[in-house]
Amino acid sequence: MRFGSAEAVSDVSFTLERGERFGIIGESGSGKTLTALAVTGLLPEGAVVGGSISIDGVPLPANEREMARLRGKRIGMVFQEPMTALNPLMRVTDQIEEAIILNRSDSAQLDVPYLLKEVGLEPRHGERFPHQLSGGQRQRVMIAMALASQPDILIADEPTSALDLITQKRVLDLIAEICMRRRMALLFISHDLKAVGVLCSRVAVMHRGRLVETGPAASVFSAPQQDYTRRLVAASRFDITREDHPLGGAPLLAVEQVVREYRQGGLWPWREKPLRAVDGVSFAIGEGECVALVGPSGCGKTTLAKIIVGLDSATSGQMQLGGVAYHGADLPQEMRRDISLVFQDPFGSFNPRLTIAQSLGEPLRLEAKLDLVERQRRLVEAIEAVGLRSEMLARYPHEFSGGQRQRLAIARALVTRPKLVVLDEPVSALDVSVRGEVLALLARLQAEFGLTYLIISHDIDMVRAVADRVLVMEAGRIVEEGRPETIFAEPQHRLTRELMAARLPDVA
Amino acid sequence: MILFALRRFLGFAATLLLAAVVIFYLLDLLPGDPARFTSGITATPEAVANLRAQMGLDAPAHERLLGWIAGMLRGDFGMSYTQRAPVAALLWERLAVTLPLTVMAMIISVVIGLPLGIVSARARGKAPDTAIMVLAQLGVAVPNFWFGMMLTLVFAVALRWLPPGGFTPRGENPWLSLRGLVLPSPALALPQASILARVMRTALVDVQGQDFIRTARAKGLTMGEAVWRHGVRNALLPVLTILGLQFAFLIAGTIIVENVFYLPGLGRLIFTAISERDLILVRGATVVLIVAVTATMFVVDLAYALVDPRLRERSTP
Amino acid sequence: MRWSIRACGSAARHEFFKRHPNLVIGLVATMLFALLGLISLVWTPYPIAQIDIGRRFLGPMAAHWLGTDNLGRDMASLVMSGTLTSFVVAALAVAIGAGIGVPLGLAAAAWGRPVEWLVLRFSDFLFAFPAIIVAILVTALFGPGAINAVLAIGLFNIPVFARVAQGSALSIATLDFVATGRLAGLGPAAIAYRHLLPNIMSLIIVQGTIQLSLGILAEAGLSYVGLGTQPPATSLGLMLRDAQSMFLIHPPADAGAGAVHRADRDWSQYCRGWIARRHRSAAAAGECQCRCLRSKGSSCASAAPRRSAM
Repeated sequence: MRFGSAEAVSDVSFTLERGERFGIIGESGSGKTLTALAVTGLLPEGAVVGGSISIDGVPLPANEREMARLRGKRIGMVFQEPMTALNPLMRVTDQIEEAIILNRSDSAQLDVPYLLKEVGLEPRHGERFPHQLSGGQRQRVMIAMALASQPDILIADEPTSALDLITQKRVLDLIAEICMRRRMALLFISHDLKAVGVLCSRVAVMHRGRLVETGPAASVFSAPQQDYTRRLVAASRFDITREDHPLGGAPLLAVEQVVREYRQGGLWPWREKPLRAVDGVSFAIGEGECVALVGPSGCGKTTLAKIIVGLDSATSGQMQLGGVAYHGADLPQEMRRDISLVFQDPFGSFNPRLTIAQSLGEPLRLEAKLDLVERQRRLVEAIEAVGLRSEMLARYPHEFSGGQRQRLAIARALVTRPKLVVLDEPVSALDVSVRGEVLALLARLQAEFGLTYLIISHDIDMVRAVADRVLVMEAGRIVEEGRPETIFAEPQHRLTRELMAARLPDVA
Repeated sequence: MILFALRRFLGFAATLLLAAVVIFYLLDLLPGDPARFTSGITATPEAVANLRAQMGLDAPAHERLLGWIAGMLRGDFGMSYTQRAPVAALLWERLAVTLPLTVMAMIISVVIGLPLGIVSARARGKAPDTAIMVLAQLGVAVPNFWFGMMLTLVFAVALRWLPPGGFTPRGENPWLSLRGLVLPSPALALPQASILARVMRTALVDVQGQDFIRTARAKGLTMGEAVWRHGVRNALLPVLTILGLQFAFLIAGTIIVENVFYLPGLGRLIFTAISERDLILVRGATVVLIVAVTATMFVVDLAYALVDPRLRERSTP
Repeated sequence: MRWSIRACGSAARHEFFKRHPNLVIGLVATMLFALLGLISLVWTPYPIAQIDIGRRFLGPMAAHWLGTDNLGRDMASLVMSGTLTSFVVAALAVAIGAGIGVPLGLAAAAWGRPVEWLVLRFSDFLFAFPAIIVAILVTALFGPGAINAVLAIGLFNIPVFARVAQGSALSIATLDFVATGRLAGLGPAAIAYRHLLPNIMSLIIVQGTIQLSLGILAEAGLSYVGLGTQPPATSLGLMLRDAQSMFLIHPPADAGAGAVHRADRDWSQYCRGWIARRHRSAAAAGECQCRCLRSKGSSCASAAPRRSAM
């Protein structure tokens, strides 16, 4: 398969037995999604395909209408993006109904309420528009639509990677259960070895458009034959990366009863009850500590992080950094260099029009009296600290990979020699194989510069590997706190228990 | 939804009010005394002063503003001092030409533009697409009044099928009065149809790449069916916005095209009024134009909310 | 089920200008007309104000390449000078629109809430005044003239640029590098200048070419009804007006001015289409990248694009 002059997928061959659950694993750009689209004849325009695909020994029809009808009848599909995969202007019921009507067959007819029930939604959800549903609910609607034609094959392309941990587990369970009940074949595509491990009996590993390894899930994961597979399997486990560092220093940051309310719009704003994103949070972080804040999406952890770094302000309550009280955006200019922030998305965090040196040098404005030589020295020091070369300073962001950009983002965070670094989901946007490297880098930097970390994440396994202390947050409140070993071994609060239960088992 | 409509309506009313105030004070700054102008050069100062009082011109500006706005709410736009007739009646008479022309042009441009845009988007990169886009390019590039002249040259001067201009009032013969619009309305519609075709094409091409089209195809629809059932409605959102703005352009265009065809519309009324410095008439006519433009935008906003459930939501928590 | 995908032939990248022959044609045509206009500043075959009734309605000939008009003026000279006026009026109007509109839009995006509200209401308000209405008001105030056309079209351009700048800057302002800029102590003005403006520049330029072409048309319309350029100066619209009054007798005069017009606009239209296409595909690609990498359920409902174009 080719796009223009770029070869995207080549020489991929596999078979899928009736009722079998088959997984394709690969990192971004490996061609796994294109493979799935090729199976269903949904490739984007401009793709040139060679080779053949057949179902039950019959090649896929070349005629577009026949192919479309076959796709509707035999294959159900669930895509990655629950946000955009549903028509925003149509009620959910109508969208499911359409799939039913299109694929009428003589066998038992399904109806919308039945399908909604099967995917764990209530009839009232059907009356809503897609934007009125949560990500997990939308993905359930997608599954209901895929099931409407009672297909033989279900293709799921990263169906859970946009969902948080607990929702992910539920959707995976739902897919497994439905495949079992209906004896459907499953083609499951993911970058997440653990998710594939949970669902699939046979797996294929894809790398740069080629199948690297195929075999039963158990043997591929426990005894990988290829280098690449071995690296992937190793990277899927988070090793404890904590290096020894002194603990229990003097408190660096104290958060005291911080509340953040958002006024909701409306004709009479004062009548509406304000939304409390952060609801009376207090904790302290000692110097040199690595504290993790975990919770499901929407629990207020990112809002809290923004307040701490000074991008937003608390409605009430205050913070103290090194003994100086502030409320958020009023963080004094001369203190700003002591806190820095690393964002989740390595692609949005650099201005594409500025060189790396300009971007990295931006926080240095906070330090007065820095001559050009000293400034350059600091930039070089920062970029070399994250394992990149100083000549890269002259380049532009698009010349770097995701992992490199995250390193650069860390370098920018370090350039003012801060005391506290807040990391918002530092590795969740990165490919599995580079996550370990970035975490190791963070641990090394912490030991080297005596940094204090506050890590915001929903990834329990990552947190367990790096944090000294864990705060669990739900609906704006901190519900549990403790050392990772104890808190995850004997979770007390309901949410913590749910989070632990939603963890996917390690492969192999 | 009701709340949304209410809010939009408040915005609409506020815009109008502000526009009226701006127009009033702008024209009030004008040198020249309407009373003196009306009564002629030979009038005595006393006569002029009398007329001033009679026309209410001696009151302070804000009082006259309030009186003017209150009058307009009752449908009284004042008296034109050159035509010696109520402004409202004059405007109404002229609107009977301008409005049908605008609406006809709008209909023509939608009927031509949207289907061409859809065809073009579906055949992207192929011959029909190229042909339509070249035509659309030409259509936007040609000034509407020039196109109007060409139409007159061909159909009125050379072929003598239609009158080159003029307008028969509706009361006398509706068929004849419609005949008077046969040439002007396509002249007005051509650039708008071209713009619509382009916007429709772009929007539909965008929508074709969306995930939900892929979902619809996964259900068993062909690309064409998916675009027809799911794409067109989504693509209409940006088109709707343009449609609202186009109405404003059409009204502006009408004023110009009326000159080509010697139609007794609002535009010609305004030009006469300007040359005769009949400010009350200019004032009333501009307000009517602005009401037309803002009202269209208000309607478009409502239509937008009817089509897009996300919009209704945002203002009703 | 068994299948495989195999590689097929490749498509080499063609040279840029070869792929866009229309672009070359448009570019050359525009350059030509701009050049003609510029030359008219220092030299025209005949003075445009020179009236010679004895030589009226001459057809194209060696002395008068495009013939003469009803007053015996040289058409070629008129076209040259008129082109310049049309260009200059439209360009000044774009300068007014962008000069005021872009800072307004950027301010709305950089300062947020109250400023945004003000700017949006202000541009809504200006949208209620089509250029022709403004021109009517201005003419009623100061009498007709080319300056009025500039003012009227420029005023109309303001909300267009404000909207485009605000809309596109808003999508940039949510990106993380803007937040890092704020953390580094940059104020809203510095954010707007350093981070927002460079990233929306391409869109502004695209809009500029659109407004330039619309401006040429609008000037023609205004001059045609007598609200714009006044004799003895001339513009393409004014020539059409003169032409119409006698085209029953002498049609070629009319067709000529129209054709000149069309060539100008063709180029702008083409240019805008091309840049917009490039921009869109680049933006789409960027979005895809981000989307694929975002593994958290971000719940930002994408606002439908509103009133950004035109």
